[in-house]
Amino acid sequence: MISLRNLKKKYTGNTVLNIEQLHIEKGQCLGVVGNNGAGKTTMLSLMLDIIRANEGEVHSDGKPVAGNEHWKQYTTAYLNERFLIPFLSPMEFLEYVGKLNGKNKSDLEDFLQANSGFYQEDIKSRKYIRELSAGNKDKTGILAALFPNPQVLILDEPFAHLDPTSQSWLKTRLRLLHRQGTTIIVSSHDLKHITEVCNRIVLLEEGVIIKDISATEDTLNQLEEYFKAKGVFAEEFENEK
Amino acid sequence: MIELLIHQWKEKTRSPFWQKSIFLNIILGLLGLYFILNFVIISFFADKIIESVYPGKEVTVVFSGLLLYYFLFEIILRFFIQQLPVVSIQPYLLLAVKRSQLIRYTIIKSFFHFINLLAFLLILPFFFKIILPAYPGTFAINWLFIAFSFIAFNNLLNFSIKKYFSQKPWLIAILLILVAGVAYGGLTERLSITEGFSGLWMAVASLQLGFIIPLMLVFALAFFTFHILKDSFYSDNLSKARNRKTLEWSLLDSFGLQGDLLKTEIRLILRNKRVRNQTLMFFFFLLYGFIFYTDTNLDKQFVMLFTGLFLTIILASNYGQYFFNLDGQFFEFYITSNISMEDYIRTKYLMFGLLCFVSYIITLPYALIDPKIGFINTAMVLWNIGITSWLFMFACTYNKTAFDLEGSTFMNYQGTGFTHFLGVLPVLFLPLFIHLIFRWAGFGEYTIVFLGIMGLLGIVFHHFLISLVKAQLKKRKFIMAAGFRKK
Repeated sequence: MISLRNLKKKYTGNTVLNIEQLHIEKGQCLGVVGNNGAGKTTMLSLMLDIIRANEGEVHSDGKPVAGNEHWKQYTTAYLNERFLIPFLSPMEFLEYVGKLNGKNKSDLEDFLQANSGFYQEDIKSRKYIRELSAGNKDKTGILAALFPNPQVLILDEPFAHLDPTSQSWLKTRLRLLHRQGTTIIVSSHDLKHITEVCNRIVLLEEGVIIKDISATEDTLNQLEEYFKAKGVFAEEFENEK
Repeated sequence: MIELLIHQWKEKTRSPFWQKSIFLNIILGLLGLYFILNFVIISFFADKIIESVYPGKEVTVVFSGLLLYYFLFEIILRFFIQQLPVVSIQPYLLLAVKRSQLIRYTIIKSFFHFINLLAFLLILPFFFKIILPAYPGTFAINWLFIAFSFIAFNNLLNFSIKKYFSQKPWLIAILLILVAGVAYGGLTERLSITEGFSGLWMAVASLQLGFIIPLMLVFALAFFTFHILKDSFYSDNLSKARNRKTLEWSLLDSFGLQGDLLKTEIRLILRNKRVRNQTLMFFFFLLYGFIFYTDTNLDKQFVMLFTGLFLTIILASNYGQYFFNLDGQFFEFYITSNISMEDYIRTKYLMFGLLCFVSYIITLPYALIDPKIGFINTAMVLWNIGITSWLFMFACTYNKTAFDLEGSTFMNYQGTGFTHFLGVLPVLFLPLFIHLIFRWAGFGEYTIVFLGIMGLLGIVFHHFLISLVKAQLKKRKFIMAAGFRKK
């Protein structure tokens, strides 16, 4: 479905992303993990043609993403609040996104009914999005990405600002989507969430893919071992144990 | 307290605003200097001016009376340009600084504003030149105290006005009309509030301890302001969302997707403080016709052309200067959503055209002065919709700053870049340039027809022009998006 070839992104001479080859099959659920600055958001932004690669290309459905608009018809994404229109209320925004994707008001009502486990009353209030809390903003953005029923769904840190109930709701929702054949690409700092949801994990460090593994029961332990705390205090703690 | 002021100074000098464009800083600096000089000169030569306009009257009395207009006008001006320093205080609320001290600091800080400097400059030269030498010491001191009290009073009043009026723009409009009425009544000598005003001023200044009265008023207001601020430090604007009405645009809904796109553009203008107020303010500029359409000007084609050009774009000018920058805060939404670039550009174009058209319709009655005006303005609105729109759009793809939708309204140059002065403004004057060339070549009278036809062609071939903007936007979108991301 989506393939990255020889992809390189540099900022003022520093290479922040360098991916030789990554092919994401249709229906795959890919989890991207890595520390801050590892290049996760850069990679997702390149898939969405928000930033331009210095070298290489991202292909979606066989055609390059850059310079084309075909992928917009089946791809939705929520990376951060820059994907939200601040002066609309959440309902108006969802309605607007729906209209852009050929859905009407009653579709929206059905959708909200079906997804009512994910949001509280705030989403239905007349507050504008700019007045919402970070968590509710993210919920609005995630709902807007889910509403058009995309074939490809791209989310950046979707769990970060969510409350525990919404986190587990979203995990279930993503698993169901995966079962229905949606291609999902999701990044997260939370190793537990990502291993529960995804069937393939890519580990980035300084822009390079260090590990590319399919998720099994042991994956979480592997990842936790990799991301072990470093430094004086961590050693002290280990020794005490 | 002093530490706080130092922090605030650092915030001002280290603000990214100053680092952005030296060019803009120089222009702003010159503008500030220009105002300062104006006020000093007016104040210094006030006696000469007053003697020539109101011969035989006592200069001080007339000057004091005229200050009433300034103070009334200042109330409105302050509402627009004086930002209250409340927001920058937030980080301190958690620190071990006393709440009351923070509030006092907020009030004191508000006095360090350019507008207060201007008021001082309007009063001091006159005081030193006229009042100090001519009147007894106590009167002079009292007079000065009263004048300062007015400045302080206005400064403090702004807190209350901002709190109670900012949600109701029509109250400001009423205030504006009231001030205009008072000024009109005074200037045509039908109603003379100023005489009573200056009479009272003189009477109070003549008392032995006259300065105590205005001083007490100022302190009373300061006390009141203190309490307003104390409350607002806790408030969390919950009521705001509750009584919000959503307009249902049933007419637009019948236009399908295009209607929805347009609806969002209209909401962009109506729901964001800075865009809305600036657009509303431009309504006043529609009155410029009364200044320009005078008997002597009607025969000057250049002036007529300029006025027509100006009046038929005025409501669209703010929107058009910042086409894509207005979406800067959520540009990613538009470049990744399922909306074709053509639709996106066409919506921007339609909105611009609509605003031009509204300006044109509102100013069309000027044609009653001379039918020629109707003819010229029709040609100019065609030009603005058909040509200026596209040139603005091209210029806007080079502006990389996101427009701060919620910023202050007046004298706010955020989002204005170097390219602005090179791109947007020259475009406005292009027709005048064309006219000069035509006149030089001896076809001066055909400029209007030429511009009108060009505009019409621009409208007819908008598909082609959209594709040009699309190609440009495709090339520039990464650079624009990267610029918009920077705060």
